[in-house]
Amino acid sequence: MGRKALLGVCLAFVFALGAILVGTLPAGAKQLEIAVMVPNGVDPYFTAKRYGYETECEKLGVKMLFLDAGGYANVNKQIGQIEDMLQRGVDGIILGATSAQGTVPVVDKVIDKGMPLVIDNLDSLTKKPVLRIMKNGVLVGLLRAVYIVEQLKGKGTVLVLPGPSAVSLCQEEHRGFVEYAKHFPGIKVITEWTPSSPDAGMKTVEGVMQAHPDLKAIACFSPPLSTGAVKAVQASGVKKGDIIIVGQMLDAGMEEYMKNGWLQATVMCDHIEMAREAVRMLVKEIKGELKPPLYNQIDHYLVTEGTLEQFDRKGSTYPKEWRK
Amino acid sequence: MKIIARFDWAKFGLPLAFIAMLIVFTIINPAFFSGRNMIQTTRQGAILFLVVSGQTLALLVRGIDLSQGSVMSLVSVATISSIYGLGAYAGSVVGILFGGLCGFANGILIAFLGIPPILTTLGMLFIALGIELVYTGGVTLTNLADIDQGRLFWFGGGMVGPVPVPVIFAVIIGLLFYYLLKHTAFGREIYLIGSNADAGYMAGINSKKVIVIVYTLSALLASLGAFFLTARLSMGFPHLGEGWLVLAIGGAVLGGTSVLGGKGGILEALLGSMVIVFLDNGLIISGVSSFAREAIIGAVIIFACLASVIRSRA
Repeated sequence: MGRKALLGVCLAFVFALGAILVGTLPAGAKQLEIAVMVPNGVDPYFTAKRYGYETECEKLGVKMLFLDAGGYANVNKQIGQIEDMLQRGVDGIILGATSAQGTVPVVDKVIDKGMPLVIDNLDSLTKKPVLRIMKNGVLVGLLRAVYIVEQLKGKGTVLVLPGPSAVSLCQEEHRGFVEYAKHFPGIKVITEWTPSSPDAGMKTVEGVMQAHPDLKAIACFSPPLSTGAVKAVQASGVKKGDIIIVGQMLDAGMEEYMKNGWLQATVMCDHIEMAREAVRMLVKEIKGELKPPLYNQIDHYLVTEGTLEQFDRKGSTYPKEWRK
Repeated sequence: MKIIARFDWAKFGLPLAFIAMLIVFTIINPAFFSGRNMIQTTRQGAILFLVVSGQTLALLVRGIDLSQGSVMSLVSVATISSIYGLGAYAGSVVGILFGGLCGFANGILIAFLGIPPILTTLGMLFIALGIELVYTGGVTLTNLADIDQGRLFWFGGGMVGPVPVPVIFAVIIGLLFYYLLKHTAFGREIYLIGSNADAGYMAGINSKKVIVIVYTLSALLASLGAFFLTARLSMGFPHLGEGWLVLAIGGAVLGGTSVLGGKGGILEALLGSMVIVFLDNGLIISGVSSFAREAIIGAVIIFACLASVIRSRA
């Protein structure tokens, strides 16, 4: 027998063995594979949510592919990632959209192909039926505004750093803030749209503090912006607490600022629990136990220095030893 | 009229525009020219100047360094994670050297393997970003020991008298590089390679060695910028360098460094950096909306690129 023939026999044997193994596997043994797609993985909000996605996937025996668009403005990159996942044929997608409008065509394509989909917080404005688990951006903005207006007794200049202007959630939060604040004629709102980074926050706050020495409060969309705001206020020589800073979420750095009196409050939600719920919703949809449309909205609450030690953290913080 | 006609607009146009800009912004809001605003804006300008100087070196040899932003992000997380184990001073040096290593790799690939700078540094952009994201998992690095945080912060947020620490370092480094470019054989080799590589070869210049050094220095200067920014924030932010590449190229070209190589220098880098930071700051203080600010700064950079091309053709 020649070498080529021997090689052919071996290959045929390997293929036959593979086919037998695949054929004899029980149908239920196929591990589900889902894609979790976020706009900006380095944002502490998404880092924490990743912990939620991972732990729930492990618990349910689901394989997770985590795809980061690398920035809120990277709409094209995210569209490419979604198309890649369609090609790969994953069992379902959890999507935090980079753009509410820009992702609609590709999201429609996903739905048309019958691929289960959960939109997690950052909306894609498809008109087709889909599962959604959402924060209430307007309420987040409003909670910040209520706290600040109360602290300032309805009078003072407030800087709002809503984050990147293209993100629908940022627009909603800004709307919530402005809608509430406009009922108080003594409150002057200055809005500065910036990238969600500490240096952008710091630079902007420094400039605004020069233009408005009467600045009394700063409302920040994200932990990086909160950090930048605190750094700028610290450097300005203003005493802690003279400018009220209200942030979003709570990472280790922000917690330290709050303990030291530089950050007065932050708007929280149980975002890790939210991530877990998104995985549960998707798995149920894959198994046919849940059908779209469904709009699942989560709660929000304000944490201040006074309540820092008391609030229930299990839905919003991850163990220190967890770091990928 | 004769004076206007004889005036060297190419040389003095931008400095004059810069002074006019300072005056206009001060008239709009006198807070612009306040001591505090000058201090914080020069601090921002010093950091940008370092990054722009690095980009200037790459442009001078008719190259470009697209990896600067990612290298800055890498240096930010490498610095903080090195400090965890080595303390503030040694950790900072290690962090900065990480950036230098990326530049050295860029130089080797460009000079010895002949890969075009735009492709090499684009590749390094993704490699550096990938490395730091895999390492951190996107997590911002904080929680330095108090003593390390205090030492580190001094570099970014400290003052010596009325002068911010990064400004002092930027002045020293700027003088060093000015001397290097204008008064040493190495500096002349950089200009010769950028303006006429063939002539450089004929003159016996070891252009490969020069290119490796230039890209290493470019990354090191960006790393220093990242270090001062990281020190000020006292955190390792995995996307620290996002947006800085555009400012680096814009600042270099705006100052008068040619995108076609061989023309420009450290003074041009300084001028370009200062125009960008004071323009941005002045627009914020004048109450110009963030959307309009982006457009104005973008338009100024494009105008400067156009002027650079016209000057080069002339």
